[in-house]
Amino acid sequence: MEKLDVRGLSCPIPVIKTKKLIDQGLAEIQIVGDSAVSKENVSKLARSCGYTVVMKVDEKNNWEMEIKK
Amino acid sequence: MDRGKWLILVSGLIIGAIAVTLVKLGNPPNMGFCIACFERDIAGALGLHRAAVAQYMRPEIIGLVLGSALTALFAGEYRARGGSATLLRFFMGVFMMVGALVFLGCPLRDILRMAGGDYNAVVGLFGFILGVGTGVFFLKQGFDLGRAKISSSPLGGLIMPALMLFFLYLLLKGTVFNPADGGPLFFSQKGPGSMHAAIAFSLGAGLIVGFLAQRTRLCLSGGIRDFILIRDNTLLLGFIGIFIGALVLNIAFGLFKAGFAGQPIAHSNHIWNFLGLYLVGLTATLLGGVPFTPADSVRSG
Amino acid sequence: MDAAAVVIGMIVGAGVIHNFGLASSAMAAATATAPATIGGPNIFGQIACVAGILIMLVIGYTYREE
Repeated sequence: MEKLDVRGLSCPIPVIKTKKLIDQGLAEIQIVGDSAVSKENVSKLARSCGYTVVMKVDEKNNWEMEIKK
Repeated sequence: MDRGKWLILVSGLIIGAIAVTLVKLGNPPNMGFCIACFERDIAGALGLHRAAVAQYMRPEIIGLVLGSALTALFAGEYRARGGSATLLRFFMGVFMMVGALVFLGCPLRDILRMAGGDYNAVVGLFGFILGVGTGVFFLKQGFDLGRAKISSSPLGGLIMPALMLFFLYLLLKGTVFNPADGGPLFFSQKGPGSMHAAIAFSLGAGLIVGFLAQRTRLCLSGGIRDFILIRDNTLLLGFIGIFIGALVLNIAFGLFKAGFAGQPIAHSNHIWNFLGLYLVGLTATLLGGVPFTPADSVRSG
Repeated sequence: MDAAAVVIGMIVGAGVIHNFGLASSAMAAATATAPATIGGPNIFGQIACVAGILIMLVIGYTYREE
């Protein structure tokens, strides 16, 4: 599973990096981040691209998700 | 349209309406809420500059910072973070102000000016869109100022709200520190700095806007940026909401006046209307958000 | 805290801009003694604006991680 660390990155870089991986056609991506805003933005992007989002760690300022196509 | 989109559209309507109401209550025309202009007025109040027409400790900004900070705190989203090219960001802030003062407004005021019938502001909007587009180009190329780290203590993030509270105290107390000089705090006797709503209204408005912006992640450059980048129009709805909310009240209050000429606190030197907001849009996109967004500390503590 | 650095930059920037006279002037209607003006930045404001754009383009270009 591809891993992506977007902790501490300014809006909208988490979304851009996630989108780059999605565009490569990766079916499973694990993403870890540390802000509520990036969690919302990344999960919204993933869902709009047809991925299911599973939260492994879901706190306000500490999250980890796995998105799967 | 899903709930999140309705929420941001309605929030935009409210913010636009609040801004025009502030004008009715005394704020300068087409300037019910302007981040850049008001920060400029605060600089004047502190004596950082001596432009006699732009000196007033704007409670709107104080409210905005406090409102969003409190909202983040209560939502459990507050976290002090920093360390992403901080000095560079400081200077980028300086240049966002350059662009805004060349245009005579920040993107929020651009919307309010358009809602007031100011065609010059439309020129600015084109500049803003192109500036954001340029920023998006760099973002796609991998632009990144670096990671911010979460601090081991929340104190760093409390500096800004504490500073704003202190400014509020100075405003309310009215102590003049340098009588021979007339301030600080300085208060414009004429010009835009002398036009302001009562403190309670301005502060209340700022608090409400700060709350709404924080909850909806409202961002004006983000609206354009997300649409270009991922065809997502959520933030754009906030942008449109503000315009409609302000437009409706402007018409209702008889403040709407269409045209290029005779517009308040505006100019018709179109190249510079364009380039001024181009600079703001570009810088904002590289920073991660417009003047409105860092002012409401959505990104960090 | 980085966002606050931007805000402080804007406030300090406003101070510098007005002290150096870089801000635009508003349009003015014709008076008895002077014709109408369209307003806008003076030459120094224009230079500051263009310099800002060029600097941002350089920053945008150089801060790429790849």
